[in-house]
Amino acid sequence: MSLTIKELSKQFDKIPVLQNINLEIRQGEFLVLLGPSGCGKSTLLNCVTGLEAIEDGGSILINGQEVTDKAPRDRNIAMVFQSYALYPTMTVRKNITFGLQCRKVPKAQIEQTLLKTVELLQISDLLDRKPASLSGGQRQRVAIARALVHEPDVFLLDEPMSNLDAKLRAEMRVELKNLHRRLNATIVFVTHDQVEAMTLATKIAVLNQGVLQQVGNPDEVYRTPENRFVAEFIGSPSMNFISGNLDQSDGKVWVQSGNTSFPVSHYPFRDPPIIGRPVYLGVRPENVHATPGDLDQDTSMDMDVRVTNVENLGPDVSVLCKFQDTQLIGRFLNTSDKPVYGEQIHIWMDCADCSIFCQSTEKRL
Amino acid sequence: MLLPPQAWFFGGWAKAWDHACVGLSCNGVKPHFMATFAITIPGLILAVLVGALNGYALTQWKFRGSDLLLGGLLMGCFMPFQLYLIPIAITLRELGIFGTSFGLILLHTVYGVPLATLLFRNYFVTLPPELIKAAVIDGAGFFRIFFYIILPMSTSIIMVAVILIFTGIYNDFIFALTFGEVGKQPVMAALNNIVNSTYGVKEHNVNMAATLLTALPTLFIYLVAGKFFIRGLTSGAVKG
Repeated sequence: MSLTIKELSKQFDKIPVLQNINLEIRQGEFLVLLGPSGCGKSTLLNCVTGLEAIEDGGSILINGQEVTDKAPRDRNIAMVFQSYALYPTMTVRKNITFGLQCRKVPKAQIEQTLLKTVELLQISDLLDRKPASLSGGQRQRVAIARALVHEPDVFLLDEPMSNLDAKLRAEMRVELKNLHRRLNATIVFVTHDQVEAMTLATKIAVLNQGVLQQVGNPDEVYRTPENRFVAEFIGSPSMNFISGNLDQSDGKVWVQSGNTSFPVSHYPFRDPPIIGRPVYLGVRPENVHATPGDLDQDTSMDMDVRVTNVENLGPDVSVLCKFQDTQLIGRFLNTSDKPVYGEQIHIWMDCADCSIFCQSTEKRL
Repeated sequence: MLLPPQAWFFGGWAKAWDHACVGLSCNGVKPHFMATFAITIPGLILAVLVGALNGYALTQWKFRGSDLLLGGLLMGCFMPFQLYLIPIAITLRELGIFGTSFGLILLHTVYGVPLATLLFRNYFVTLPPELIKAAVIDGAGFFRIFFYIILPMSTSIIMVAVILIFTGIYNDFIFALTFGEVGKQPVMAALNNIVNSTYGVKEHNVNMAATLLTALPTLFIYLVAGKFFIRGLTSGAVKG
């Protein structure tokens, strides 16, 4: 039950939408394809389903079997669509069993599979209703049931939650995760929502402009983004970037920005740092602090900034402030003496988990 | 002339139905009704079916040159009948079906297809493409998708096509007159032969009765199918 995508490229009218994609999804993995709108993630999914022909090179293997030229029905996959795509004139029962009927599965077996599936998804009492009379969450379940009855090798889900309201989305996330655990299914899930990606995935593949930016588990992608795009796209609020130059003095390595130097000696450079190289120092908002706490002097830096906006998020506040010419975001605990607009405050920046990117290639150093 | 009727007399209706003379045979409009329906119904079914298939293929299974084909088909809608009377006559002769009901069925099917295609295409482009994709992944083929998913969603547009094409075929005069089977001409041509006959005394009551009888089916289909049409629009059956 594995899926392998090899050197897949795709063009529309000579405009490349996918460039040399290599991906490997093993049995039981929950892969989230993450990227902004128009990055090619839906096209990639359509190539896997076979709805989009592969003409520009590359191959797709399911369970080690070449399926590149096979019709969608011969790939043993199932898909849940963003709009659910339930057949409006059929009852829920017919919707779920339509595919089995197309595949000429014996009646008794269809009935058995149907009952098992609807019980699993708790939609037994909806069987004779039409999609129009179902709520969004119910439609979602029916769409998942329609995919489940095929017992496919790979489940493909194309932004299945973007039509649900926030509360229902959170519920469905948990439910989908449970379902994944219970069935030990192999799932490819497309989304542009990085919260969904972080919470659901065992593996995230970040896609931008048809190029795979990084593949890794959620922690890897969050903590050690491969490039500036990934760093910016994952995490909310977004990562702070301070541009500066690598500098060396007192036997230590610094990122110097204006007259402030950030200590980065501890940073695991992949290649020995080139002094003077222009870089971006990336620090997550939660690593910007309003108090020194027990920060390590060797990995942190304090500075004066002016507050330009304060967003109250309940448990914490998101504080926008101006440091030199750079906009910084800090995520502080929501205390009674939280900063106010226009105030000059002192902040501590913890560089222990920082990322450093080259300014010209935007790649992680 | 302008006086109200002095005496009520319904004999004209019976005569129009049964005995009015069309040319040499005096059997009224009755046999011609049968002939018309024998042409209209197969022609209607064929035109709607082919038009629906065309529209489906043109929107959901785009192929190279499909837009060009649609453009070509649309040209068909704007061609006046008179323009190709002679080519049709030759074609029908070569096919050996000149002057037969079968020839008329073929003719009306061909002429109804562009309009039906246009109607169905414009309706089908509004259907969500995901439905087709879902069905393809479910393992359904071209025709299964068409008959099980697309057509059941299209009742309203089917009604519109049926009304328009039925009226088109039924009301056709020029083809009926030119290519109708002798003695089994469609009712429009027969009516003309009754009403415009210059032989003998003009029987205005019979002429009026024949005209009204001839107009009834169109009236009927507008009333009955029109209701279905509105029902199809308002039931929300098309919303997914």
